[in-house]
Amino acid sequence: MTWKGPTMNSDNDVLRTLAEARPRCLADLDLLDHDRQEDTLRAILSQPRGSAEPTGPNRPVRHLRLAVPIAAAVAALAAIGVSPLLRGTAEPNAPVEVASPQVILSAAANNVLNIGASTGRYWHVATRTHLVDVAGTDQDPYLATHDDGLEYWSSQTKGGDSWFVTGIDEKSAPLGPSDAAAWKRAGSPQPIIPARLAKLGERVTIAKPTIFHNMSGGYYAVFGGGNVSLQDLQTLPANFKALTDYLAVKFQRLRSSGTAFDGPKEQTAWMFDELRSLLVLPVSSQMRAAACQAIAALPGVRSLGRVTDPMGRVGSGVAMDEKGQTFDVPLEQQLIVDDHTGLPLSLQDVAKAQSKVNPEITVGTAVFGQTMTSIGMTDAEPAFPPDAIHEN
Amino acid sequence: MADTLPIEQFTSMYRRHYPAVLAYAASQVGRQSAEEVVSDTFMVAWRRLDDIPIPPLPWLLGVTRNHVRQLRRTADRHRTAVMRDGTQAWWERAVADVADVVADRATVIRAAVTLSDHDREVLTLIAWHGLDATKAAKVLGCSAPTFMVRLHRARRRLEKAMDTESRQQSDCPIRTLPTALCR
Repeated sequence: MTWKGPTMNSDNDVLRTLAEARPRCLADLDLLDHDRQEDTLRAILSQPRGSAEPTGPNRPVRHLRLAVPIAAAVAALAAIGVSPLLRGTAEPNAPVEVASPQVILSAAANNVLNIGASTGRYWHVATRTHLVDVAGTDQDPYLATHDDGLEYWSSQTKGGDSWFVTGIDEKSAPLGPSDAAAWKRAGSPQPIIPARLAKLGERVTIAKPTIFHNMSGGYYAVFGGGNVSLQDLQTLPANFKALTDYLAVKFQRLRSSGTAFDGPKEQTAWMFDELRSLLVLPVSSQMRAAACQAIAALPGVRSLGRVTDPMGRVGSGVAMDEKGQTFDVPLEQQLIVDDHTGLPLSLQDVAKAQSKVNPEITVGTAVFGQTMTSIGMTDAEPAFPPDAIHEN
Repeated sequence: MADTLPIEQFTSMYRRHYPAVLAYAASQVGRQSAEEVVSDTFMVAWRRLDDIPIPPLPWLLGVTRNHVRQLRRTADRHRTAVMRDGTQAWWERAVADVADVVADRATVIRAAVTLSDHDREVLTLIAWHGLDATKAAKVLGCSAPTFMVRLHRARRRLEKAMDTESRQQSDCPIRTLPTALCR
């Protein structure tokens, strides 16, 4: 702001003295909190114009979907076709008129490019996942939650070290009161073994956190329908159109291989899931920005406006309907990004209807989730849980 | 979904005038409550973007003023206390800002805080918030001639208060702010 001083007639006026006494605390930089100013701007722009009353706050989101099935973390589940489910109590955000997904994702793309200017030795991600699956027997099934943490550091130096820690503070518990009753009838097992694993005779224990160094198997994550290495991730297209084309080809291959995908809606939902996952992985800032732009260009993507993630952090959300149904309900895939960094705060899938089979799955239940407790570049050396064991 | 043009238009106006609106709000309700008031002001501006006159600042300050008055009317005990503390803290800081620079400036600030909210508002719209009489009149929702009369009276009261302050300072240089400020 440029302050031009008072308009007065008298040369020696008390108004002039008062003007000269204008407090320093009125100066722009002293008074302004630019981050808060921009937060307020985004919040206002997320509201519809022309209405008499403000739109009510979006419902908080409390749980997220594990959308980045990192190889070591979920390989066993994926191998036997388990469909892990996460549950929360959040409801889908009301279909309010808000800033467009293109506005949200364009801002995110710009912000992640700015992050690219920051330096650090590692790309570091720490997440909490909340998983719900069916446990018990066919005669007396119940739902159970599985929570654990996952953390990894990926060196930004070619050939540098990377670490991956799974199973941090792992817990399991019955989902709701009716589940707790069935769990007690089953003898209160701990840990709770997912039914499909139990049928296969799998032994599941609460393991200590496990450290993987450099992922000697070469595969780092699951992306585009298959395992990928760090090198694979670095060679992905960093242009959003090329990235979209790349995923379209992958999708066609999956469909031709007999994977249950059919129809254009399913393709866009699948691509939304893959692209939001890419935002978390150790890729270049340009690639992350391309992923934001590619999501924005997907038909059917919509804005959630300002939403709160499971940790109570406010960000901007976009969503896409999930293919098919899980727990006999349709799902809405969500991505919540931080307004300052453009990086994801959380990924989650939310039930859009009440389950007729599982009373605990209600409208708004997040059945998949991944919350980023930390994400970004760091120079700090990896710090492991004291009880962690080294896998390699 | 909002069109791009209104977003750009609003964003430009917001970034240009936010500091002035925040400064005005802070001087009315203190720093802590000011951002909330400013947020409300620009929310109204967003909804009524097509109705905002040019230049927009007087209109924005007028809306801010209405929010401040509404806030004072409806605030519960806790909020009233917060606003009072915030306003007092803000003015104490204003006094501290000038107290060690020029004695006259410290005196005029101390004198200003003895005035009514109404007089102080009239004076600071001109002296601190950069408005001329015509624009300040729009903020207050009155005619320019009416504003000039109010300004004249406020100025006389400020002069008188400065005389009083000067005498009292010579007797007792360290004083707390008058509670009248906190209404």
